[in-house]
Amino acid sequence: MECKLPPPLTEEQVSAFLDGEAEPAVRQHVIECAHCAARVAQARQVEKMMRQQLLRWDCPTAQQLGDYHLGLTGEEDNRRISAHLQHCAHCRAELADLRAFLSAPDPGDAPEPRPHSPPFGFSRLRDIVARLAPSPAPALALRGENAGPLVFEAGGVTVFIQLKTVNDVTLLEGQLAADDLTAWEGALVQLHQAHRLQAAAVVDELGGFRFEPFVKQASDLRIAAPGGEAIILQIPA
Amino acid sequence: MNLDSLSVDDLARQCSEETSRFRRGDSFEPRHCFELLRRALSGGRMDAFTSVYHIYQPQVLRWVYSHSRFYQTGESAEYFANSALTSFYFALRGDKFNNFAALPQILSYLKTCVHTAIMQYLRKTPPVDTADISEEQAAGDVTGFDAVIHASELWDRVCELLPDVRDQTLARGVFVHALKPSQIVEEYPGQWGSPREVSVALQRIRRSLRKDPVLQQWAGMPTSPDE
Repeated sequence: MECKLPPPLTEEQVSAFLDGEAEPAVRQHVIECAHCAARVAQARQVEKMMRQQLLRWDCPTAQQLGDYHLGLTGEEDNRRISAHLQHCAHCRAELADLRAFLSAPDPGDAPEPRPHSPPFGFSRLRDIVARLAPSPAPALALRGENAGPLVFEAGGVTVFIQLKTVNDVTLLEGQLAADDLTAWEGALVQLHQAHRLQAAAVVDELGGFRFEPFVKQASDLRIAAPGGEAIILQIPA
Repeated sequence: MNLDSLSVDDLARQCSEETSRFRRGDSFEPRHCFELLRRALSGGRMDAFTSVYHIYQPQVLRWVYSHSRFYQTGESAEYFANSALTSFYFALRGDKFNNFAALPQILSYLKTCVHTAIMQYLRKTPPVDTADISEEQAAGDVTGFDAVIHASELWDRVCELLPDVRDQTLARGVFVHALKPSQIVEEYPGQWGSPREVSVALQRIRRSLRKDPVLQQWAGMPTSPDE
């Protein structure tokens, strides 16, 4: 493909167009010339990728900045974060926000929850709601028990949920399966029923957790890994 | 009274009462709450953690609502309360709890967790003014990019293409810190004399970067059109 309206746009004109500072003639050229329009689109794609992938990539996490502010970081982290703060206006601004927030007086009563906010509190953007999959074949029975667990899948993690009754007490057993199960060891599992946290458990080194006793009703399980990833299981009644 | 002899339920009940007294401005006794938190975090008692969650969630919610940037997120306060209490659990569980000797210090850390939950969320998402979120934002990722590319790998490539340290500094200012030319002059005194000088240098490095076939491939573009 060649420029339909030679000479083709210069790189400076492409940059100006991306910055929204192009002259009318340049803008018109992009409208009328598919070749130069493709160059602009390609340049935009590359720059967009760079801006999104690189934005604050090596900044300390907000948690690390918080620990730094409270004097909870080690010597090496202190040095690294101090050096980083020399040239990062974003992190300096976050620290300033934190100082102001911590020193603010105790707030009054919270406003009434907004009508659309779920009491359980999961994020449409951040949390992964697991999909309830068809039950596996009996050969995949959990830990030697009867077949028939609920199977949830989300973000490369499979969670098997099985209810059992032992001595008239119902319990819920969960089992995670993942390529990297170590990322989920120690994960915090929250059992929410009737819009309230009922119990919490921790995923063990084999990927298992349990709630005993378990009251059979519609439940939400939030499984949060130490690394920050969280999946939500919506268990039907 | 020997707190060791109290059950989790008794500790929770006492902590709840002391917390209510504190909220009313009355004198209060922090020992029961401290012991409850110790059992939950250092001791790994999940029943104690559940009680901690119930007792402190209202306070955490108040903090969320009072945070100056909460309303930029478009999320529910309950989401951040849960995030804060979860990260609080991970941060202070086990031996890490021993860094804290008193209840006010622990609650200050919990309040910090509210701030970090909101700020970490905002880092990943541009702020929204309404609760309505577009499909593109809900999808989270920007289409067309090779999601496997790690930022460190990308930065290494940028440094290969820009061997001059001053150019790397400029690229860092623009792409990593999203600074405008005038901000770059301020942030790196002595390196550039004016925003105009920054803009000229920036045109040059953008041109170099955009032409790189590796970056183009990572951006989902197969080849560069002929000029």
